[in-house]
Amino acid sequence: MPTHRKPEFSATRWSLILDARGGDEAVALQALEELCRRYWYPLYAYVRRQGRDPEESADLTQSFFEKLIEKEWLRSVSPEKGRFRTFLLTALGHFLSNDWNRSRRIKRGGGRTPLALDALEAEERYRLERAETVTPETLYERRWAMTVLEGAFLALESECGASGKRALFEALRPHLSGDPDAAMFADLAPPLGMTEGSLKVAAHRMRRRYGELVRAEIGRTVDDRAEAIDAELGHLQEVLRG
Amino acid sequence: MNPENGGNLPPDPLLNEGMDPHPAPACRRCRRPLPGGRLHGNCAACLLDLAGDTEVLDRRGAERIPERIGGYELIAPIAAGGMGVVYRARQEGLGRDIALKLISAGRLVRPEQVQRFYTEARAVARLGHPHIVPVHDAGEDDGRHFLAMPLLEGGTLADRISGLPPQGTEERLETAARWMSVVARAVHHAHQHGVLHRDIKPANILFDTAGQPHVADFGLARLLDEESGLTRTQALLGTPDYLAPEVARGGAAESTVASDVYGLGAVLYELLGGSPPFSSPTPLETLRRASEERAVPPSRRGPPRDRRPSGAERRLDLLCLKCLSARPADRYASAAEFADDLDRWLRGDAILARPESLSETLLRHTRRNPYLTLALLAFAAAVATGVAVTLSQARANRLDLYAADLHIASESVTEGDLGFARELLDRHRAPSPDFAWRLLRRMAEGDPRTPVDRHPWIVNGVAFSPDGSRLLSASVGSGTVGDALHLTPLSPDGPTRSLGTNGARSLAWFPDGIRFLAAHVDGRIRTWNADEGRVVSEVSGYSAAMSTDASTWVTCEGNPFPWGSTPAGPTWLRHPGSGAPARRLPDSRTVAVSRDGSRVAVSDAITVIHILDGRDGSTIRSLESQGRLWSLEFSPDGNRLVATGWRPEVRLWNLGEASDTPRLLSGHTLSTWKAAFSPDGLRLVTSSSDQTLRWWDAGSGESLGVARGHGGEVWCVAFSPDGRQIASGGKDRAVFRWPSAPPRADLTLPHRSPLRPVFSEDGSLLVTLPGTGADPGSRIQSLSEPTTASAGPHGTPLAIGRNGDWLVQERPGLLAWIPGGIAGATSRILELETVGSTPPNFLQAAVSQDLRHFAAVDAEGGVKVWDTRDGRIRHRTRIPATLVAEASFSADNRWLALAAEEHGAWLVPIGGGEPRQLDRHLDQVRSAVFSPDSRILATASVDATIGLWRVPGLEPVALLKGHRTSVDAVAYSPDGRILASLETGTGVRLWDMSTFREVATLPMPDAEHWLRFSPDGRHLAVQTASGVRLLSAP
Repeated sequence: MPTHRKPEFSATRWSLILDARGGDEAVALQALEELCRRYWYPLYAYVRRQGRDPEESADLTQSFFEKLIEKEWLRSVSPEKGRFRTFLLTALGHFLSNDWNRSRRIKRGGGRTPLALDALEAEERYRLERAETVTPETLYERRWAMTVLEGAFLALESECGASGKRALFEALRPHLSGDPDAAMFADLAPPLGMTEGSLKVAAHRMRRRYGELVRAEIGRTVDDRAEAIDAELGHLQEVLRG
Repeated sequence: MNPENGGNLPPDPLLNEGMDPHPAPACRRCRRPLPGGRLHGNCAACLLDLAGDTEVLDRRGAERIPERIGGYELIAPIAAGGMGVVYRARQEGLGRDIALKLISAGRLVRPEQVQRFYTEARAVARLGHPHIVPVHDAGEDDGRHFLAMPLLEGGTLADRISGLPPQGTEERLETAARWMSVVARAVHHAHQHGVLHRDIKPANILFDTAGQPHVADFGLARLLDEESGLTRTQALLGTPDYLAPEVARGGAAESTVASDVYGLGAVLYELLGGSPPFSSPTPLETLRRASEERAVPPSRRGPPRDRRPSGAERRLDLLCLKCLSARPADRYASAAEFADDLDRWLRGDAILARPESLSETLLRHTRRNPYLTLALLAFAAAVATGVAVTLSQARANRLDLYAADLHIASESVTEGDLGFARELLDRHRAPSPDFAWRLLRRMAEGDPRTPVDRHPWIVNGVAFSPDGSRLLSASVGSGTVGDALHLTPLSPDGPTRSLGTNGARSLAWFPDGIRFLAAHVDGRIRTWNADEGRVVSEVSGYSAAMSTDASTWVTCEGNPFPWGSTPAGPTWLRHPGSGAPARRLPDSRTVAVSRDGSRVAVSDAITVIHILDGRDGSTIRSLESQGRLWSLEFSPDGNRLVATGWRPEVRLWNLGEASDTPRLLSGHTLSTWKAAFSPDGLRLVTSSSDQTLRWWDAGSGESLGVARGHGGEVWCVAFSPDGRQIASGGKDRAVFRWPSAPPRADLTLPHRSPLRPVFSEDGSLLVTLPGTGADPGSRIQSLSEPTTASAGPHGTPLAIGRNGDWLVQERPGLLAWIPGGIAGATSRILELETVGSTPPNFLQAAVSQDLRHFAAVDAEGGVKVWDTRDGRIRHRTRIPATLVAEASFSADNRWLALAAEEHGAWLVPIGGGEPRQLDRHLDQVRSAVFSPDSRILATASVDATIGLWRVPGLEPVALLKGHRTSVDAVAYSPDGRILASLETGTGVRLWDMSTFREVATLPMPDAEHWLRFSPDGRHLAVQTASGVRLLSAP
């Protein structure tokens, strides 16, 4: 039997999950699971922010994903194209509601091997969060935005690694968001064996590539339309500015 | 873990405001604090801006975004739609954020369009309803028109649908009904002010942060389509999913209150069923389906479920489908009426919505089959002037409700949901119920059983005492209510005694018949003294199992629910006397002990089952559990092990064999929960969520039968120690006793001949023809004494008298009367016309009810009617040569009906005259019978319809649709209230003759050719591949 390759990273898209529901459900499930792995921390932060303790928060987040990855939940996703971000938060809201849990008890509801989430890592990350006077929803959205940005970083890192530009990436990484700074380029160029001018061009390209990767990452969580990406980007910009 | 308590935990100090002593460094560019961790010192907001660079915006081409427009500063796009893009914008001066809809360039060009746009916007601005999104401002800046509205930040209904609880759950139904009630009232308010919405869809229903829905975009969107001169086809390039068919056909000018009601119904449909009603790959296909098809009830849409729709859900279906009627007049007259019905549903009151009317069915039929139009117009006229108008509306509603409820009851019976079927049928109890009601009520009653007890909640365990004189039963409640432990004396019968309010899942008696073990849901396993009703001792654990002699008992502290978050728990083999732990066994969630105690099975209920030695706990072998499981049971000899739970198949291992693969017993349709072996080990009974008990041969695994009667999932079952009865309990809170053998199915009598069996005139006997060939013999079955049958004389029976005291037979060339009992000598013979020495070859023959006439049709289309008193041919006529499938007399002896394969049906006047042809069916007519009052001819056709025609003019009365392939037989109940029809290979349907609605669908895959009611109306005989099956309705 041929060995199965793990689905390409780029194949994991919310729109593909929506499309695949009628067809190859296993693929859709796998893609959903993959997306959940990427975006579970914002949910943990949300649950935690509601005042629950670390164990309970980890437990709830984990149970939520178990439930989510069950087939019927995926099937119940409306073909109306939506955003993965809002879908997850709404679904979590229902999950946390009292009624839902009671009905689960009575019906001896189903289950599935849980998505292994690292609760300790989650809590560590959570403790690194600054104390903010924000609602759980806002915290969720901010963590979501951060997760998008982190995802793009990882993608950029692997791209650079693959094309032999790891050193360049590591040198420029801390400065991706900053304003161009002549002194910085002067310092960084010699150890990389580059001129100041070529480093500036490389930095510009890398920033542009990063921007594209952020859009691609957002594209995983919304439907295919360009407007949808723009709308989601606009929303996340609001969230981070707010 | 209890989420509702989570909020009360002491807050984590890190969450408190102002506790962070080290302010984070700030971004040099935007001065926001830099986030720590994984962004490597970058500023998140600035990083995100890299993705929104101007290059990106350029890709929009013409749609370059201005920075400010009409006194608003555009901040970011938040949504895009057909009209244009919606931005979050800040109102300069006021500093508040609003939603600004920027109409796409080119959508408003001509002056009259612009004027109309502002007129409409002003009308909407005046609406002033708490659930209508108001228009604050409408204006124009540099040629771009815009609308300013409050910013609702709770997303759209479209966003929320995917996050709703699973379809069919109470929360989902209630949420949908509540939202749509609010939305419908808002729409109604607009209607009262003369404003139509015209484009109701999920994306136009917005939520505020409190989760309340608001209707947006009144009148404007479609107005733009209409005004911008787009052709209708182009306008339909958007989604027509929520568009009323008359608007789709006739354009926006056709918009009415009724088309908005359609939109509301379509949105409700999507909320319930997960997708819009007629959603198709192309808009045109969607439109075609919306005008021609009846929407599938939303409860049947979406993923397959493990539970059938509840009554409440089916009522909500009706409500939703009423909005989606193809004819505007059949929808709710106003959005308020729709909201009222939703509110009635939410309160649990009766709703007004009823299944689709006959006229609507006809209307759809006309659209689909243009060839039939003429006939159908005649139908409609007949319906309008005939039956329908004579009924008062109230009576019509009541009858409609009756027909609808009966049909749902029949589906429930088929699905095995007997509890709901009984509930529905009992609502329509009448002094003289019709055949359909009586049949369904009998079927819904289930199989013979004795009620033992009722519990406050779901019954989880039953156990007979060792002498069989007492039955222990336990229910497990929800939270603090419903837990109970009951003891019921069985011989002699006595009142049930309550042993307290501790729920339990597993129960086991000690051999003394006085003490028993109960594994309670509070995590304690208690030994009770049943006589004294007190606890003798207790240990910890959630489940327990014990050998019959109590020498081996095992307790398990694992939570029985096999999920990762509830680990398997310590499991102990205990000392028989003291109950002290003797040996620790592998951690588990469920356990079993063989009767002699020599074997123990423990399982984590997820992956593995260990078979252990009952004395020392050593492992004998380990089996893969083949999926999650709930319970394990050993056969009496300990050589077989059965596992149930979480899947419909029962897993049966033969431990004497080397194979680790269990035999899978298939038959239940939903998860199985508990299994019990008969004491002799020969049979196995299992209980299931499909509301049945099922019997199996414990050796071969063959299914032996099924018993129905519980009104809910069956969660537990046990055999009595003498093996003569079983007990069961479940979600209907009832405990029943049943015979230990599976119940018999409906009576099926041997009949293999293509000729038709005959009921006696009083319905007490049925003559069948068990053989094949020219002389199939005959068999006379008593219907009052199902065990009594006798051989009858040879020949084709045509009629049989009361108690069988005479018989009329057709023999080649002869008609014979056999009086004085079945065995009597032939008293009179009517010689039929012979040609030379060859007896006539009749395709079909029939005798009139009063026996005065005999009719026969030959292969050349020759039709002859004899007077049986003098043997003379009274009428002779001819139809074109064809195969005739059925001949029957009207009760008033005036007509003979012939069902012909090629030329439709024929109505032959017995008194003389030309046969009248009925040629309105599209295909062969397989059956033609008269109503008992002789006024209606019913025809069954291969075109899948049943026609009802007035005698003698053959004007159409109704066309009954519902069969899928062909209708092969029809029969009237003797009181004329019910028509039964048969579709070979599918089953039987019953139709109510006052409303012409289908009231019952009885699936019978082996049904074929023929059916007939007994003259007393107590039985419906249906020919099947294995004989004549009697559906009896006492």
